[in-house]
Amino acid sequence: MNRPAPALDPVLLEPKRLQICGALGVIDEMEFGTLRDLLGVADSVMSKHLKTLEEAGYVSTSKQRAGDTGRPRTWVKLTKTGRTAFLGHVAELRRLAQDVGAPTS
Amino acid sequence: MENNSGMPSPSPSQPGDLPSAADARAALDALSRDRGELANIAVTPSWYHPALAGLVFIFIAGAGSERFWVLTFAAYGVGLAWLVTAYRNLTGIWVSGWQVKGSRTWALVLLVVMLAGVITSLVVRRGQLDWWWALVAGAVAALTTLWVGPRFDRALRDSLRSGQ
Repeated sequence: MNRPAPALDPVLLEPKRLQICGALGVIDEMEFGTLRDLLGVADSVMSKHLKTLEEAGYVSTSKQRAGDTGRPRTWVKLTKTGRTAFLGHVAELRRLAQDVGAPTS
Repeated sequence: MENNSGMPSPSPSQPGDLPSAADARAALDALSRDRGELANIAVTPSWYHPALAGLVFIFIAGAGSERFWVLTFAAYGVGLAWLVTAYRNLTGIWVSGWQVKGSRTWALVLLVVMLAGVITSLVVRRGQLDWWWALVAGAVAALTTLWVGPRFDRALRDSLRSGQ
């Protein structure tokens, strides 16, 4: 896969949304509660960020019944569009992070 | 405002509102920390690989039987589905390993050994080898599963931590 061009994405400028895509970018799928705990946010905050990401087409969610409780759990995965936006955003962040050492004329 | 890291959240088309180098480093550090946390979450339960090895044995040894191969194949399918569901429910994540370079190599090793085992068992089913060769093929694939499993996990966790 070609590396996306470095470009900041307005949706991913919010750090928690960037973290959500970062976590989903290295695995296949993650359960809502696990993702919420990883980010250390409340359910409502998590839902809000996921809704924004879903509306942008960056993540998709699915309900799956848990074997132990039988209650449906929400699983989240990064879409191809989301992965491209995330990789481009991170590439740009890396470029910006390196700017600190650059000489200023 | 929902932004809670100090990083501005405007359009990147406005140069004055771009994240600073410190903001960018903080965001990258947070991503790195999350990967480390994910590596800690992605710990396979101790019973997982023995159970998987048992299923692999049933599948491959069973493939050599004219009478029971459908039954053993179904048992393998049901068992595998249960294992995957149990892993997902316990860890809250699912990583197939195919998109991670290090673990993909180990997955391929297991796939090749399983394929060789299935071919051996099919030859047994055609009557061109004695029946016990199917048991040998199943045992070899099961032992390979036990050997590959922890190495697959280690490679996966290393990849998660390094972000590769």
